[in-house]
Amino acid sequence: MTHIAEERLVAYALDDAAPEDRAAIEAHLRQCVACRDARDELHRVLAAAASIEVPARGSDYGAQVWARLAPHLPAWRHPRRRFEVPRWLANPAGAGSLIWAAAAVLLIAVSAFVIGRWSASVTSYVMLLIPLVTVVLGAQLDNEVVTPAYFIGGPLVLAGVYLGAFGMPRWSPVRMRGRESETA
Amino acid sequence: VTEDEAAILASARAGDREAFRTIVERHSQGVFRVAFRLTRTEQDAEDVVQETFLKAYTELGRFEGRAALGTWLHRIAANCAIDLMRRRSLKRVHDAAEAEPIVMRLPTPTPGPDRQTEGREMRHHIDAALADLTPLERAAFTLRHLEERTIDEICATLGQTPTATRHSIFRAVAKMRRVLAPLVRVHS
Repeated sequence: MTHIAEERLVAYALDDAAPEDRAAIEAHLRQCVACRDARDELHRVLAAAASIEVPARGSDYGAQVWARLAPHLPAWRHPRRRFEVPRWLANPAGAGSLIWAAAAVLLIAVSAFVIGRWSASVTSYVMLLIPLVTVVLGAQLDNEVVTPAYFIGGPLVLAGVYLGAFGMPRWSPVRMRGRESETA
Repeated sequence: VTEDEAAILASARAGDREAFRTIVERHSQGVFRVAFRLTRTEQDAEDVVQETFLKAYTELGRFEGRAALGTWLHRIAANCAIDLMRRRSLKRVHDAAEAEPIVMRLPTPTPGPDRQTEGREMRHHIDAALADLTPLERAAFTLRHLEERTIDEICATLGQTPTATRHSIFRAVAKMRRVLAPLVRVHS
């Protein structure tokens, strides 16, 4: 008979096992004395670990904490407003999705046009953009917040890929310097 | 977040110190409990309580109200405690725990001298077993077993994936079992 793996037994003891696994474990425990002993031992270990009591604090503890804390609180500053996509635009069920989809298509088209002038392979750049656009759309559909940092980060990643994989553009100072030294 | 809590929160966010005082007074006990269970010494727990509310005060604007205010504060406390544990060597934490008495839940109200000695011995072994855990393992185990948090809540607190959290809990239990199993076998 194969005994229950320790990891499954721990998950069972802590009530974290999936319902179907739980049923399978209980069925096995009914038949297997060794696993029942292991489970009982695990329960005793967990009970021992939980036996350390937290020292009691009086009903005025909150006031004591405040008295210690208050002199150290910094001067109040209004929190900076976070950039938030307007609700009508973020609503995945409404016009928001269409606008985001249109923006995504436009972004791909404009990017393809711009970077196409620097490279023979427009397709490769479009393929690079697709994950970024997909993430934006996915985030919107899942009601996640798309921050300005994302919009800045995306083009930076693309620029890095361009420079790293395809070399410096013609107007790059690094490349110009290289040419000068070649001529000399 | 209840209506009453939301109103207090709104005032505190607008800079009302009395509203923040209400938050501190209401949640200090719970924050201390989490802090003590993680740090195991009263002094460290008090430091964590202080640091938690200082952080909460400066980050109140970021609290989105998705979880209860208490859960958010406990999350900050757990992270402050983990940072504290990381800053210190495990040995030093263990020594401090030995020096400071921790009350054990004993089955009889007036245990005899043998029982008290057994209790002290067991406490010593529990401390040793806990000291052997990494801060993340101890936090994951404590939050799941003692604080009865869900795996999702622990993931959010520790910034781990569910798989990593489950592994941390498993490793913690396995380590504790190695140390404590022979003792609970004798005591049973």
